[in-house]
Amino acid sequence: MSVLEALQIGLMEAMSPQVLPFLLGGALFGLVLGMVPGLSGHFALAMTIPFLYGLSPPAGIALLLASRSTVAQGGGVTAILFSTPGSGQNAATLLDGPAMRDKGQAGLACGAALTSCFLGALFGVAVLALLLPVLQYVVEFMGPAEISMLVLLALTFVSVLGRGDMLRSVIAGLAGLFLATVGVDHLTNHERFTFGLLSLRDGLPMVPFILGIFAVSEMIDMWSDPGRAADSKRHSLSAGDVQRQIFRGALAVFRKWWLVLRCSSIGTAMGLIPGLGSVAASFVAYGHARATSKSASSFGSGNIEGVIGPESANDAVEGGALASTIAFGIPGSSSMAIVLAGLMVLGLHAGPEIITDHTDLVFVMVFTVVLGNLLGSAVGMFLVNPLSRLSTLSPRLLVPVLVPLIITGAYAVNRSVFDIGVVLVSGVIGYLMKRLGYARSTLMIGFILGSALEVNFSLALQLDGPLFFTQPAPLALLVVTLVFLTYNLGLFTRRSRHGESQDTTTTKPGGSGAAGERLPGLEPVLIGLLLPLLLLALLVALQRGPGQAITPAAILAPLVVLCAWQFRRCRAQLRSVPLTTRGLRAAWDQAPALAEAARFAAWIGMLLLLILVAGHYGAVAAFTCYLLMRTHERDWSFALATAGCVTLGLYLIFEIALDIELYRGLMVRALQGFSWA
Amino acid sequence: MQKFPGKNRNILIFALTVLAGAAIVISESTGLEPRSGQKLSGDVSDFYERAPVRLLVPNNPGGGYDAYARLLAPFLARNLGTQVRVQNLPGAGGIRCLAELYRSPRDGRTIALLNGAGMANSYIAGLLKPGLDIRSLSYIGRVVYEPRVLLLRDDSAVNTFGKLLSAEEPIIYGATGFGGSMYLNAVITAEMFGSDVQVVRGFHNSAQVQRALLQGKLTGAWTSLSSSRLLGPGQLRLAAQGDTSRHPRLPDVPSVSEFLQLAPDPARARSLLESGTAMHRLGRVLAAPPGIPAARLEFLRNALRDALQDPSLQEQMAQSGRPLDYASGRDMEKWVVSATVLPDDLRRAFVNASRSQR
Repeated sequence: MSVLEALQIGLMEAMSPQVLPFLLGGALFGLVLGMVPGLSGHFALAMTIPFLYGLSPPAGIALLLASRSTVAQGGGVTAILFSTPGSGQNAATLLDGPAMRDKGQAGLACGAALTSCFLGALFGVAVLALLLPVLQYVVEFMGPAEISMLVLLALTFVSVLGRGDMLRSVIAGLAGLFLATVGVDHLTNHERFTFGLLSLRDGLPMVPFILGIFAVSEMIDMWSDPGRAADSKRHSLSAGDVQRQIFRGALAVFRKWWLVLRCSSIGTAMGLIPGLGSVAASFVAYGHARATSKSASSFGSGNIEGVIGPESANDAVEGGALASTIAFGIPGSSSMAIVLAGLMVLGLHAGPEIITDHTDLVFVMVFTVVLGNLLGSAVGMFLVNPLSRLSTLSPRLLVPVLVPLIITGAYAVNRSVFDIGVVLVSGVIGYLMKRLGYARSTLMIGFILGSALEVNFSLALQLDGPLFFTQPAPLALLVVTLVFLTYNLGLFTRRSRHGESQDTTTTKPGGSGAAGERLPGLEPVLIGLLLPLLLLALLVALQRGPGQAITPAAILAPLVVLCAWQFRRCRAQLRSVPLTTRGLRAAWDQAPALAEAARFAAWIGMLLLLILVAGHYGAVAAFTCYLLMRTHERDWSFALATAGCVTLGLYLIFEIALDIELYRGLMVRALQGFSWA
Repeated sequence: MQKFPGKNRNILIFALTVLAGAAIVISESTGLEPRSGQKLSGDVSDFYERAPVRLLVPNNPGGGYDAYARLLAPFLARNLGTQVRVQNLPGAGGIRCLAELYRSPRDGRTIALLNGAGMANSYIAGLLKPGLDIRSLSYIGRVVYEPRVLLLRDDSAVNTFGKLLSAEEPIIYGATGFGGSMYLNAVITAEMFGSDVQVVRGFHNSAQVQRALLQGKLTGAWTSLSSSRLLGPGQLRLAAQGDTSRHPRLPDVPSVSEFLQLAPDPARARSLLESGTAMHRLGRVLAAPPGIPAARLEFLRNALRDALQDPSLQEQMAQSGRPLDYASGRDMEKWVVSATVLPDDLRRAFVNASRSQR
């Protein structure tokens, strides 16, 4: 059959009454799952596999792929409305989405996010369909040498991400690269910075880390800054307003078609690279959108381009990932490995034959992704209105409900209590970074791309020798990278010369409402504490043999130098640090939001301890109840009822619907006969 | 700050009811009941009927281990007369799952699907935490055993194992990481035949290695049969299989043992091959913590045997391309000893293949 015939048959099959219900069911399932923090497309796929037995191939494909394709939509909406990303791929949306919500543009942001998601997916599968004849060459093109150059290019896309302060931004990026080195180094099979912990052997767990840096830090910010709550009250919109905004948001995306196209291309290309995927794609797209925007300075405080960029990239990945998976039976990621397993259950063996023998099924895949995304976006748009009602509730009510949901999602990824610790600690780090103006997005990009760069660089060295970048394709990529970098640096110097007033040490760091409020000397004190630790880490790394030391040392050495430089820049603040207890108390009194944040961080620590001892449910109930009690005038009945509902809700979602046993706590485990070791 | 209406009793009563409800469901699901293990007098099947069995899996949902566990669970449940709940505990190359199995109550209600070969190798290399003695586990039985195969490029000059051994140019293998099975098999085979090899490490997965092999960047790769994907004329071919004899599923693929006379020291090569095979035939194995009551272990063993003989399970496994190779728990007990008790000289070979000296 010809390609056109196959296209027609594929479309008919995808729309047929035997297939459409599965497509609808899968899409809705993915959408809802996407709204639960931590649960990604990987999870959605794994959940649908058991239902594939006995389905016809088109119906099975529809169920399988539709469930994965809508996860990003659900997570995007909750990222904007509740500062709670569904998964890593929506975390970049958090940089501008919630800021738009606080400006009263929640509908606008959601409309834009959902539309760009759909357009990105459309672009991704269109590329997949167009590439079918030459797919083999495209995928074979991507060797380690090319990949390491591509990753380098991606890193330069984001080289100007910082809020006008290059030094802080570079420090954040290096810190991300450093955190990526934690875990067993697969080249030498030695542990790096794991402190002998089993849970760190595979590296810092990515999803909990992202949820902490972005979501928990927002929770701390929302909680400690009641002024902003009053602000968003003022912006409470009528249903009609929201609907109009959604429509305008969708239109805005079409007006920015060139940005959508570029970011979707980034997504599709990233999808072809094994081991990267949608999280990296969304952050790189965000960086790219910012680097090339005319209004770069408003990024981070509610620029619609900051929503369009990542959201059009995270679903475009699908096309690229599917291409290499179905054409060669080579899964680019663990979720694509599940797609392969699913296809096998349906009696299909991926490989070049699937393209020639089952072209119609390939088009069923294409149309499933398109229709699933369309459906996800459409249903998502209807959900925005009721959800945005909820998002205007007081943060003092929302945060006690959302924090338990976030930590439970983080736990569910690996069923690990350690991950709850990661999410909470990185939440505090993320909050401090936000307050002090260190770009969290650069940290994230360093963290995600770091290991891909190290591994592929070393593979390229092993396979093609030290001059691997002189081969034609890597060389071309390197030239593009250098041109881009020079252009961006030029742009940066010009910009900083124009707006010198906004730069230097006294810049008002991020954080919307309480940005003006500062605790004198916080930054130099923190850096002063961090410096010796980094030095120690550098010394530890250097103790190892050259094979193991090279990567950590190459990252840590400049990091130490830059931190020392930043310390020098801001040490003047140290003079105003009050050294008496009374002075300290007065300083805290002048910064009520920061003091409240510190208190919140302490409660978070208590929550972690409680989970360990009393188990997930008891701890969450106590945490929610206590927070509500504190702020709702000791209204016992209300606090108890809400805490009960939250606990029951978590039980129903995770334990009953998803069959994930939450941690029971050391006490219950001891009763059950578990040993302590 | 908002003031919420209602300090009234109705809400309080509602709240308490909800909390009580939640508490009941939660305590029920935790199986908080009289401590098991103390009631040995009762019938074993009665014991299993009272509460569900936890089946731990060392990978995330969707992986191979998870698929086996989830396909097996309902059949196991039928034969045990209770619910079997699959619990995923990914991380640290399966050691996290093994550690949780050791911590679990020794009552026979917690079982795990483990990577027997990987555990044995980590055990020999001293990579397991002290106290995790895999020889003391209560083995229920093996579910499957994946042949290790050597992939070579079909159209290359070096496309059989014989040609590989006599090749002039250095052999370049690809592998995921140091100490992983792809690396281990490449290094041990090289040691057997005294070949000069270079192993390129750091690939994301076996599929990426195979892609590099197809691009001509590598000479070959050792991997498991189920992850060999690009087989076919003009692509990759199965050149050898890593056990002491031919595998029933691969009658046409020569075993490495057929080439032993080419080794510089055939006797040593044979013992390396035998130790590797002993380790490897542990396969994917179902086990319970050490020291569970004998009657319950017997019950679990029978349940697994009967489940794996169920034609509808076999049909489902076949449909999803997942073979079964049952071996009894008693056999596993013997094999795990022969896999982990090695003469010093062989042990060193395996340790060197798992830990970098750099």
